[in-house]
Amino acid sequence: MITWLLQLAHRLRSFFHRNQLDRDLDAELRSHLDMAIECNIAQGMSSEEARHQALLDFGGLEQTRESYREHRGFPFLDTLLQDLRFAFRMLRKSPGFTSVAVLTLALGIGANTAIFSLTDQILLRDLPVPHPEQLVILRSPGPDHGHTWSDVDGGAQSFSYLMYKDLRERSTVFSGLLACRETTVNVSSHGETQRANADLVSGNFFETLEVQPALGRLFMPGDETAPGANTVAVLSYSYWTRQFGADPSILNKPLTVNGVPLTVVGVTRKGFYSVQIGSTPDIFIPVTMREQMAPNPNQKLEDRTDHWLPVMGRLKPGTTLAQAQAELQPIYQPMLESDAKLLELSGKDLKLFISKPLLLIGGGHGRLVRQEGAEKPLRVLTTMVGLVLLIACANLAGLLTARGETRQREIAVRLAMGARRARLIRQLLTESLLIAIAGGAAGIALACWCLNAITAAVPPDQGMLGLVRSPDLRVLWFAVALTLATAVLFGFAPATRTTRLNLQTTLKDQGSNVCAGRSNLFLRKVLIVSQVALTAVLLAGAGLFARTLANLEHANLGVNTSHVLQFKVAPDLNGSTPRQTLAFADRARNEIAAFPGVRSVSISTAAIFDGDDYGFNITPEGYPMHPGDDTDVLYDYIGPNYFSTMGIPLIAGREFTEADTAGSPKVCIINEKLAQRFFAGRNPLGLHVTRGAGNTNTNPPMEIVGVVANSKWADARSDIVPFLYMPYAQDANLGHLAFYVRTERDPSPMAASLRSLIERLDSNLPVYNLRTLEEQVSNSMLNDRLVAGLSISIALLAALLAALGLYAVLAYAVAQRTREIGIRIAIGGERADILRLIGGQGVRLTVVGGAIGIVAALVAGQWVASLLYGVTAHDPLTFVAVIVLLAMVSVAACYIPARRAMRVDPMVALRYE
Amino acid sequence: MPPKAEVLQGTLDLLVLKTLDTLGPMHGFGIAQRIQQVSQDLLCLNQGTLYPALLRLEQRGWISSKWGVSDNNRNAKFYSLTRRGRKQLREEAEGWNQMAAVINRVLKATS
Repeated sequence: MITWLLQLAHRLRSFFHRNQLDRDLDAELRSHLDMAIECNIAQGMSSEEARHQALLDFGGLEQTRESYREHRGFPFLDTLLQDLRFAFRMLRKSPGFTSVAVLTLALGIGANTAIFSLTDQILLRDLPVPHPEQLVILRSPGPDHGHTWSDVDGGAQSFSYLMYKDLRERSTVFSGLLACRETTVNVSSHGETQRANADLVSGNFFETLEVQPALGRLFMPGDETAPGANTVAVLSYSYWTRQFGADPSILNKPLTVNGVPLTVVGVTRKGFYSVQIGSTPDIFIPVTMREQMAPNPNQKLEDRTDHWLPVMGRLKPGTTLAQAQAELQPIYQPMLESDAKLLELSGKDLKLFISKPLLLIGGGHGRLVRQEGAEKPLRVLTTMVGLVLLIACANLAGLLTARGETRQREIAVRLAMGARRARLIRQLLTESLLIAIAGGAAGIALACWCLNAITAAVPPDQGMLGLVRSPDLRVLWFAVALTLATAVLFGFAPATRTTRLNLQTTLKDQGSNVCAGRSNLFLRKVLIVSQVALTAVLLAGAGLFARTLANLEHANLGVNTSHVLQFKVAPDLNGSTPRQTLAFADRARNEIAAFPGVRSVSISTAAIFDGDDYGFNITPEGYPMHPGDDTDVLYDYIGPNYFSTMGIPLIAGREFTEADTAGSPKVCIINEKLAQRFFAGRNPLGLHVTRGAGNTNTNPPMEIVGVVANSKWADARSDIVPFLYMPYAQDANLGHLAFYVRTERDPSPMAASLRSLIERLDSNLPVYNLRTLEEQVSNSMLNDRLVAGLSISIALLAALLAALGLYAVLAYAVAQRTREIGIRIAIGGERADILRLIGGQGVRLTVVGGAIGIVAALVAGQWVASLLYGVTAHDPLTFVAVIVLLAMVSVAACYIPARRAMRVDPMVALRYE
Repeated sequence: MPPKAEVLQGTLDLLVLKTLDTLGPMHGFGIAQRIQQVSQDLLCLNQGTLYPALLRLEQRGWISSKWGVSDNNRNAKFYSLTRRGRKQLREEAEGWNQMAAVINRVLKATS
């Protein structure tokens, strides 16, 4: 150990004083030789002879110096510095090559880093809390009964509050079991009311996640006592800085949320958001405040049949998922059985319900609700940018091979003078590394720009609030790793190839070649073919996504979206009763209708193209029910003139009118799909529909008074489903309202007057989602627009790179064959033949590459089929377009070299070299 | 004159250490001369290889070096054994003797 340290110290010293040590060594060797000569002379040799003998005995001054240097200092570093200096000089000598190479890499690395940053933030990263791997999500898949809130994942993963509490008390495998449900609230401060995102959380929420406060204290189990009793709030760091200027005096001040004064007890630390990636709550409120914060007359905190709370636990250290699951199941089973009694289940329903398992799923990644919408597109985009990087590498490998060929003479000379091959490969790889580092640095800058552009393209209310716009350390490491990997990827093959030389032939032949060796070009042709193939795949993908977007944009929505302005309000959050809300709705509707330029106005409770989804099952009159029949329909409560305002054609019967009031007979309107599904062959008008299983005591039958044409509901992609409309006047729980205003002319200028009208009617009522219906529809296609836009940019980038690659190979071939072409022309070759010679090569490469690429794209298309709309994965139009585009790219790339070849002057060509 | 033997791999260090032990501080040429003399010119020492070996020994802290003036008034770098070097010499010499004895035994047994 000491020996090793001494050696290291000595080497370090040597490394930094190598010039002085070189002089030292020279002096020592000189003194040695002098002494030897003197000694030889003393033995009677002539001075000439003495010197000769001394050198002979010594045996190679230069080898001694070299081997001495190898032992001294860090020869690796020495040569690295030397290589770097040399590489830098070489690159500076050919700025054209260098800038193309750096730019190519910058594009490849930049695109990859930007997409990786998105993927990392949305799919990969763990929650920013200690030991995220201990967190688990509780799920219980199976049939649901009672009221259930389920997320986009479709699986019931919510629990009733009481069941959550029971699980928390009876289980022993968790160091903490928390509950958290997102909601939206109205916050009044400084005399104005604004909407804010809130998380209703259990008292142990922060304890379990081990989150620290930035100010004050966070919730404790004592903050979750009884319904309505815990009037405290914790602010998120970003809300505190954004809304209150990070003012510490906010502590212990009241904040009016949904009309209830809550005391602000603390602020979470910076960087913590929630247990759900992409969700950025502003305020945390104890779950016991549910009825005030998310008012709904039908939903009580302690109702065991209302499953609304997602639950997450932190396993005790050392406890495995399997152990925890084994302990929980016997606790969960009796809870299900008692719930089943409350729900009055029997027979098969009962059996299915009580056999539901309780599953634990790793929750450290913060996907309580899975980011399904984002996952597939991100994977596809990641793959696409990965392919672009491969193209960039192939491109650079081609460029370097070409460069290597022009440097063969230099390399041959160095090899002949005794340079080792490994040493030369290292030298060439150093050059690649230098290019890669420059490209990587430029790529990171490009990635920042791309990320900004991508996040800027997302409207702020579209759930991307949590995204960071600048790459963080993790992403930078990714970029660095990528840079090094590419350097090896594109540098290694050319380096080994260039140094594998037959010295004799190279030194002899170089410069008098009539025709370049065909094998030299083979690697580059392979590279070109793979570039073209990959480009074909990317172009096909981009084409399919572009077609998808176009189809979505031109999809028949069944709604006339032009000249409609929409906005939403939520009076219930301010404590407005359904009766008050109804009065407000009627009044606002009448006032808006009186606006000049308003053609018609209406209201619904669930908004169209907004992700609102309300459903129940129905019992249609006279419909023979089969066991297991799916009688689920979507529903909405709407006002008079709804269909004329939305441009949905009325097919039979009438719209709702002012005469349909809370007290009048219950009525409904159905869409064609529902009519076909349950009233096929019958006239539905005058028939009745009952909500639920047909218990007319709790749910009075509703008479069908109209049939309307089908229209899309959630988004342009969704299928037409059976839909039931009811008058909002007959909604016993009327809470929030979506207004639709059809205007004579451009609706946008009316937005301000609508906002001020609502403010006049109720100054505490925030207006949100105020935008044209066209914008709303367009927002609902956000994912598709991002995917199409990004994939088109990526594919064009790929095409550009492939064109550059093709051009470089052909231009190089022309330069190499100038002599041959000159001879051909001199002996009477037709210029057209020359064109065929050069152009044909390019065309052949494109055809082979394109064919391979198209086959690959047909296979890969299946993988993205779920993201497509209105096109199949082997859409002929797309593939024809790809072929045309490839042909154009190839012609463009061949044009200049081919023309140069045709213009070769035989006299010049033959004198050349 | 019998053919000269090459210096065995790894034994140069031992020869140098022993030489310095016997002569005290000495320059490279002196060490080379001494090895050749003591071996009665039977060893073929490429004098150039001495210097990397000296560097190696110095790096390990077994010898140290200092510029000085030689008998016939020349500037020369003098090497001398350190305490650690003396210890190392003892160990290596012992190891060598053991090895030589073993090899001798083996050779006698077979002949």
